[in-house]
Amino acid sequence: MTSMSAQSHEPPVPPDPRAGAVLAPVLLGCGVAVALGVYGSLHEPTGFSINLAGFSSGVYAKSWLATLAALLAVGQLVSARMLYTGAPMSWLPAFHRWSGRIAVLFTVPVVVHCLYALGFGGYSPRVLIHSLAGCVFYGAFVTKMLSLSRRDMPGWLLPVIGGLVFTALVALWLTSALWVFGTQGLHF
Amino acid sequence: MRSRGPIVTLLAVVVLGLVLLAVNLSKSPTAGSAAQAAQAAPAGASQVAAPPDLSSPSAGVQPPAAANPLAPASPPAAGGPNAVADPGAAAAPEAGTAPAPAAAPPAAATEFPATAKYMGYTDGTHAAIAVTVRNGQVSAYLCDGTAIEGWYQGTATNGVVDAKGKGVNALSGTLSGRTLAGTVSARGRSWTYSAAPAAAPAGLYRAKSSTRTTGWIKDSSGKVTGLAHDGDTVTPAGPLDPATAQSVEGGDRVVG
Repeated sequence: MTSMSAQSHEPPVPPDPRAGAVLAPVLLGCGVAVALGVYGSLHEPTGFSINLAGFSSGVYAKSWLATLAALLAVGQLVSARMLYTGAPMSWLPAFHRWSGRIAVLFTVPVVVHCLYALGFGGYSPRVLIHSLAGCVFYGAFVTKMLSLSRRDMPGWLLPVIGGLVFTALVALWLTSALWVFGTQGLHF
Repeated sequence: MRSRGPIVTLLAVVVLGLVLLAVNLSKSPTAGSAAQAAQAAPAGASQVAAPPDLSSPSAGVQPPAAANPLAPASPPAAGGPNAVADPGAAAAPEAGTAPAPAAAPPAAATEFPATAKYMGYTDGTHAAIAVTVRNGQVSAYLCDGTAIEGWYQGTATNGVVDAKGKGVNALSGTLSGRTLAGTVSARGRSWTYSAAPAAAPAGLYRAKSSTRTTGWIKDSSGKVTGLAHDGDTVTPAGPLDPATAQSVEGGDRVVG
């Protein structure tokens, strides 16, 4: 290979077409994660956001939405594992898709409040981990959705990205909802 | 079909997020004054000078006091103790170096009653503020119920409130008629506010344990806004329980 050094100034040709296919969703996901973090840092937190009816406070509305999303995410993990091991249930793919959609939609009001009213924070380890995990979660989610829409992806990509989405969501839940329930009590 | 589903999901998430953001922006009660303040803000005076959402109304939630027509006019006839932009707020961008709009009439300060409580909200962010006055002493609390709070202690003389909080946090205000209006700062930012007299059960309440201090502001309509802090960590407040929370009166020690 060293004999090719004379040609090293040529634009490198991707050795595997799939590498390029992976690159676009991953880069876009990274871009989304960074953009959310930058917005959260630069946007002046308003400390104000609309509340959802039926909860004692916005904090509890967020905590319960996050909890529902986290429970559905556990369902995602289980159903994904069953899909990969060839479970015979015909409804499994639909269950996986729809529980995932509902889970991520549950997170949207939460993240809008987080970004709009609170912003990216680093004043305690919990808050820093939470802020980072939030950016990673949506970046990985974008990567996963974009890579799902193509068929030429390497087989390892989906489990890795799916695992990242799940890990980030669990980290988000642990650093927010569990903390609220632990410090403020478990109620609605 | 299979290849389009994830994209639809992605778009649905984006659309829902944008809709919620739009609802938030439209419910932000300050679109007008905030935009005005942002327009009047000196370039570079604010740390939000170049966020991606500068064009949105929320960008102006940190209105420099001098640019807001609701702020009390800073050059008073008496001068002296009547410094509306107090030294504590000097770290904040507005500082008081920017001249007040010439059109703003000087506010005539009204002397405070012996005891009074003023409940109100900051302009723009709608954080609650409670200022309690007793015999010239002031104890006050600012709280948005989510992330920002501050306790303040100081004096009320000749219709002017001058109070300090932790670090550079500061509260100033001028009583004009029955309305107390001024500037309050916390966590490096400042807001203008206006507050009106209120009577029990509206008021300022506080509970303190060895490590945790909780404050609640109950406004005249009965709405309660509260937060707690443990050191520098702000946490949601529990429900306001009259049995354990103490009503704060002007002069009660609330700082330090």
